[in-house]
Amino acid sequence: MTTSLKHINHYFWLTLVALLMGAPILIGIWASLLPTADIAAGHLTSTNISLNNYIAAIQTTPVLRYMANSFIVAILITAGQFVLCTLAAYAFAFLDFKFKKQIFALFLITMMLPFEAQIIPNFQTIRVFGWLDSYAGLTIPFFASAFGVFMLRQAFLQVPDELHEYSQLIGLNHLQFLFKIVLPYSRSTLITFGLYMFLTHWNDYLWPLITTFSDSYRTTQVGLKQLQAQDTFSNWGVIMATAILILLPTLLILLVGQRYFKKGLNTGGLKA
Amino acid sequence: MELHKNPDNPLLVPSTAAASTKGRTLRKTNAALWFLLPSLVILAIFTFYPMIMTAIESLFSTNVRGELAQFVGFSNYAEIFSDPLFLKSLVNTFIFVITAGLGTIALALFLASMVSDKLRGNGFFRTAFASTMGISGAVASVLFLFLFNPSVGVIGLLLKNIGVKQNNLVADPTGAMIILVVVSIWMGTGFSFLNLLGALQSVPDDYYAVADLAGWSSWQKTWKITVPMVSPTLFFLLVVEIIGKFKTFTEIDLITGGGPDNATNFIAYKVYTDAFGNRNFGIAASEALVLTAIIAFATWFQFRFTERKVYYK
Amino acid sequence: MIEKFWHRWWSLICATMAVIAVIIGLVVATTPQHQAQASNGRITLSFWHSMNGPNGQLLDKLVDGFNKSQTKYKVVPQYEGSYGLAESKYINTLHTNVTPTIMQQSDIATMTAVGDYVPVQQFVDADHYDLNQLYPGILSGFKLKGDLQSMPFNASSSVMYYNKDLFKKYGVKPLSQSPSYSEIRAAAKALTEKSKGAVKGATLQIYPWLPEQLAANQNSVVVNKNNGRSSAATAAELNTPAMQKIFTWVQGMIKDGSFQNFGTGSSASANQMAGFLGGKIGIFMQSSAAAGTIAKAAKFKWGETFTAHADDVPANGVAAGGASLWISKDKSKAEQQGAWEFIKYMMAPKQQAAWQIGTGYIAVNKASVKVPALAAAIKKNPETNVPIKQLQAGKVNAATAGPFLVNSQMDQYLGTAMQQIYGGKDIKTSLKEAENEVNKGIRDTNKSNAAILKAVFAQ
Repeated sequence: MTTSLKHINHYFWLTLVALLMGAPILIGIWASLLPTADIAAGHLTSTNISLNNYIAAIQTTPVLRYMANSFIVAILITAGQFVLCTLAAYAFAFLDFKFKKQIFALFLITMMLPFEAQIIPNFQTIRVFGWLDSYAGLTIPFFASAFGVFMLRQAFLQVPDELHEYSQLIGLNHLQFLFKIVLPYSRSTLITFGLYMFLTHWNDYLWPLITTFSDSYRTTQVGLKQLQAQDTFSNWGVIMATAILILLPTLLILLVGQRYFKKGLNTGGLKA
Repeated sequence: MELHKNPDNPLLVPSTAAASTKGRTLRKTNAALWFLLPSLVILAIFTFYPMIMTAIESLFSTNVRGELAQFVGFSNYAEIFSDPLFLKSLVNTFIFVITAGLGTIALALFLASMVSDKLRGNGFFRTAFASTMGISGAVASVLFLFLFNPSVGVIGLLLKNIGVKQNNLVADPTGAMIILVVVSIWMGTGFSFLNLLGALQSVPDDYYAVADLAGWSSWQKTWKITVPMVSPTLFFLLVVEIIGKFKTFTEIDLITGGGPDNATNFIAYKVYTDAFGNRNFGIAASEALVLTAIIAFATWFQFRFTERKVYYK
Repeated sequence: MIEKFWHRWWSLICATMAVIAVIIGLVVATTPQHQAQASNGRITLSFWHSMNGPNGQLLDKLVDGFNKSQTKYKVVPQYEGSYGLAESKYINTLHTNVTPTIMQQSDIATMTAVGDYVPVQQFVDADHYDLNQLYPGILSGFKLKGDLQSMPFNASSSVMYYNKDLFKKYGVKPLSQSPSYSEIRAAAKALTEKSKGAVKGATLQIYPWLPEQLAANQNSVVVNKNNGRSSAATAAELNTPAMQKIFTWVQGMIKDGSFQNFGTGSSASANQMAGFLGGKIGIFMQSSAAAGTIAKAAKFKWGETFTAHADDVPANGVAAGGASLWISKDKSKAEQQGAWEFIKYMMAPKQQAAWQIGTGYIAVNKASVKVPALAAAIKKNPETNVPIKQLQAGKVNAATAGPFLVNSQMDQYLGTAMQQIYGGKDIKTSLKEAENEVNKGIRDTNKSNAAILKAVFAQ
């Protein structure tokens, strides 16, 4: 076999596999453009394509409200984690204090405890605080993240000693050092961290499922379930359009942030 | 100062950065408390306290109002471990986790090996293969519910046309399991793919060059160079995938509801239904602790064997 | 690109994020809880319900009508999932910022045991509201010690729906008003065979309420102590001849290849409806409240009959299904009064008539049939009246009163048994297993709730 034939063969299989992997999304997008009547009759090859399902989804369902809620929740959690994890990671990277090892181990331990095992008491806590069905209840429990602390600490440790010494020499205090040197130096990790956290919490399901009770606070993923449950005869066109709408920000972030994710994987091991 | 404008300035960045934490700490300080306090408070309220409360609640029975009714000792544990439903749930969870976990990694390895060389166009395919990474369980569920729908879905109709009598897979215990495994593999592949791609690409070309000189076959190269080089990543991924799949919830909630005949009532879902459906918090808490034990063990295992590689590389 | 942007703006971004976090913290700390008082001076009443699809849309419209009919209150409807899910949410959030003022719920036993409501009777008495304008047969199920606990807003009964056009197309005789199991099986088989498999003759959704109704129609209870009506039930009665007959019938249709199993999961019910509307299913059984969806979306002639009865047992009648409206105890007097005003509005002849026309629920107000719109609808299609006729034709006994079971896990285990049986497992074994599981649940419930149950049954 000649080299070019080999290549054609290679690309043929690659394209086939890529199409298979992408099929669920591609078919979903296609279905979202078809009238439900055509889908229900099994005419998937129909050519009556339009954006009507999207218009219907936006006009007749609160999907935009759900998306706004998810956006607020994901941004709040990312911001909250950014502040809290930065502070904690700074302490572990640059400060010396009593029980450092033990406290570090304490953070470590939380990564072994599944959130699923904490939902009952957490629900009761939120309930007592009066935070059911609120942004506070949806976000504050996630403000601390042992994983985030690890990832940022790892990045902070890369800050050269000389910079640290120099900053102390010219009399920078902790916050100045953090803001003027550590954060800019770790920007790539911080971007990875931010994108990753946003994506993770955009996709949150279980917690919003049990703590939201109205469309005012319901987020996209549980909103999708809500719309599915409110539907009594499988209005496929609109359901697909809603799912694709919810998917768009995810795809956007993946596309823009892909090289950061890859870098993050190589240095920190995301999703640990 | 303009330092931050160019942190890569060679004057400021020495080539050899010492890595010791101790060495870089120039003065002792109590400031640490203020830096750690916010995180510790949140963790105390939303992680440690609930774990303790879950343990306590697992020793109580629950009344119809969802209040702890009476102390029952370990009888909730005795009950779940003598309950055929819970045991079935455990067994099915393990079947799912292992099938889906191995499937994810096998597919990811296959995809990564297809695009790991520097051929033109591979970049596009890498992006395509990685793109399932951030897709949520809810969206994936809706996409696959459509594909597998017996009367309008592409796969459902395909099954019907090749003569499968029960082409509504969701209504069949094995079929429902297959759907969940397929969805789980599809969703998980992107992440494992990116990891394995990185591992494959980090194998130095020199190794292969030397092997070529020694006249090794491609089979020998695969087994003696590639596999040992990516095996730490494979191991790391296996544990991570297994932990992740133990927590599978969304897809069950949206696709099968735990059925049929409890075939897909995996443990994380059972905790939820017992707590928030049946309001039996005592039973749910003891099931949650069993889940915790499994996941804690897997995580410990991972820390123990991959700590150095992952965090202190 | 991001990196460049970050490079220039990092300090601003960091500062903004920190400020956002602080502001949110402050906002959250000072956020007043969900307030009953709306901005325009109206009292806001939150209303949790389980109406989806066209029924949910019509409910929203009726609520809107109430909000426009006066200026004192504003009712905010929220769909909270199925009755079971909504009930769990309700109980898990009692005495919190989200507790609804008005709750729609079908599980009378559990709501009574939980007891966090004001009996509607108090408002009836204070307001001299005439309960005689409502059907007594439907009211009776919601009374305790003669007092009305909650208002039966949406009453229904189970019916069989069938696609008349398909029957005609394949030359199958239309169903009689009260079909027997064998009549349905024969029709289903004929439909499947004559359409060469393009149509599945029948289906029975894995929805435990359906076999419960089919059992009631054979004068069979599902729990002891007269269906838990005379005292707290102590055992389930699932492995009964009645239940066995139901599932022998179903397994027969499965064997014929004329039965479609839609399985479980959140979309099973919608898939069943889509199958019927798409002309792929001949007959299915569902609450009369599915008529609204069918009427809206069906592009063919369809019919409604009484619930099927076993061949050797004359139809005994079914229990009134549906749900009632409950007023929360944990609310101010003004809010509770608002809830009562809302209930009165919803029970008026006009609203109940609109409700029956749009949904297939039974208008509970006797005067509704005289409302021109409903009278015209019944004249046009007499089958609209099948659900109420079925209730009126039924006998009044323990079976048709329906099970009264607190914190029931009946649905869960009877559902599992149905899944097993549909998968081919032995009927008696599956029913026996379900019975054992439910019995275990009943024992636990009775033990953990001894005091509560004693209060419920102290008559």
